[in-house]
Amino acid sequence: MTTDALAPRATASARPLGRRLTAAGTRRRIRGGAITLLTWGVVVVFFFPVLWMVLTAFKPERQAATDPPTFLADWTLDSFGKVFARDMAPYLINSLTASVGSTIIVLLLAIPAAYALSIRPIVKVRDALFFFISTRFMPVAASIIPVYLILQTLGLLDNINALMILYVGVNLPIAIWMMRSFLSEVPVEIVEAAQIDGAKLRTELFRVVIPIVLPGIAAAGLICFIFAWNEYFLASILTSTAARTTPPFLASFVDGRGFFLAVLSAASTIAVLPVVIAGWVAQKQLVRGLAMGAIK
Amino acid sequence: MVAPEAPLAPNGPRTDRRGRRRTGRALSRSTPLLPAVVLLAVFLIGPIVQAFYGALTNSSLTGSAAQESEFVGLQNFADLFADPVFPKSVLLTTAFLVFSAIIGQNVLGLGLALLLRTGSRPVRVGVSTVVVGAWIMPEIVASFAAYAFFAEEGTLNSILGAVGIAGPSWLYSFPMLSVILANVWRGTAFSMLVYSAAINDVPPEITESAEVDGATGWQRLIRITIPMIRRSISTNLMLTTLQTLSVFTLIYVMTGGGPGTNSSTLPVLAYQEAFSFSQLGFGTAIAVILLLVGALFSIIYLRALKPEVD
Repeated sequence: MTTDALAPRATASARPLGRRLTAAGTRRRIRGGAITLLTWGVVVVFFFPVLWMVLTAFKPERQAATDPPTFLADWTLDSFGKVFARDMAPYLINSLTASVGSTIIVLLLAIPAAYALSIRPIVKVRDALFFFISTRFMPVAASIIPVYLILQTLGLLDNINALMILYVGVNLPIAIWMMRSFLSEVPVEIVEAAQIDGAKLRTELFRVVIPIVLPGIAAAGLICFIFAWNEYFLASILTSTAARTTPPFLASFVDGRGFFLAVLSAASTIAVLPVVIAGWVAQKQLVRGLAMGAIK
Repeated sequence: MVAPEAPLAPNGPRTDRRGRRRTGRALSRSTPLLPAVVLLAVFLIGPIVQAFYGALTNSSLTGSAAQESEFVGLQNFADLFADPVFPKSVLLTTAFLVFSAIIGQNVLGLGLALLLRTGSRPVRVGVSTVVVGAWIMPEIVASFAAYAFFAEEGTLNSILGAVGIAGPSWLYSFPMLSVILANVWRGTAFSMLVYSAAINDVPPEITESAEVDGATGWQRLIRITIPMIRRSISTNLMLTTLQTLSVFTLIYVMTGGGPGTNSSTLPVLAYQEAFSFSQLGFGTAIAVILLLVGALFSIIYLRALKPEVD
């Protein structure tokens, strides 16, 4: 696959058929133009709310809510100042702790598990785990009440480490699933050769298998990080002050008196920035990882 | 891609010794699974057992039942089925599922993926970047963006107003339509990425030879592309279905389940009963129904996937 992640394989080879007749060629070009236009139209629809949010962040509060909406405003950094005046740092740090910590633990648990499921699979265990993994997709909203009660009993409400471990539980099945797909692509001959040479399980894993699937590990890690960083529902119910993460903090900007759009947009822009940059930098791996996890 | 399978044990008769050795080997090979399995068991079985038990009690957040909850048997479920809000919520959940996940995200996602395939390189790179950017947006931010778009004084009505149309109060008059459109907007990116990757895996020789044989674009899509990516379609259908079943934040931020209970899908209803009305037991009973629906879909999904895994 080349640089862009969505490139179809060898598109050029189908072209000569259409070139034979100029009339057909023209028609084809018009249709191609229309399709391009349509695609961009859809893109604008998808991207507009995001763009609007970023623009709103740089507007003064009063102009953010004007009717009709305006692209021209007295651009200002006021809203960002207000966000930092409310001390966003602790929330960002909590988010970082929960996301990075859970991602590391997830990878440490997922790689061996996926290895057992893909390189030398045992049929029955694999079936059992497939069921396990599929149950992960049961609605989070359905398990929140018991989780809340359990944490309450253990005195672990508003505890960032508890939230981190919960994120491990939420992300682990996806990570195992994705890693299994990546590991399945490792040629079995290489592993067998290492075994014949007398490699132990650990050597086999760290010296042979992991270097091959490093890009896959990066993709799985990134996806787990993004999920944890963005998670709102669990965080909003299970944390209050000490362990509050960024997404519930964003929600706190909404107040009944109105005039919160610009500040909310500014805070959201700050919160989105790290993951969007990470996502764009690793776009190719991300798309590939997603596709692998979901397709195979 | 099919996992390279290790040669499997023949099903024929085998001696005891070989069987035992096989069991030992199977055990040692599954050790790397252990930590993950234990963790999942704690986080899965624990809450599920607790949910099933909690649904049979009258526990609540406040009042006397908060200290000592009593076992009330199936009372919560009896109340639930007698409550006219429950069938309405089931209906709303179904509508949300069918229109936003199954029709909206999957059809639109597949359409976009097909459109993208015909696009030029800059178009593909641009679309991919935008879609990834939109997909990465935190749920809470996307929910606020959708709220700001559909609100009475929101962006949509301002745009309509600019061309002289007085837009209705979307979130009040058409709450389900608004949240369905918002969920389509939020979820289509994922389906599009999955379908793009699946279509790329279809060998171009096959579609090309069909084109040489005179198949139209539509015929190629129906007869070749879709059958070849049917496994991705079934996986993605299930992923989006289960994801949509648990959508809470989007609806809660946009409409709060209202007006009244006009957009209270099951997750929203469970949350309201448990945390707003303090009826933990009753809320948990709704959650148990939701769990069962999720489990049902998981089983259907596994059945659909099974023949091709082996």
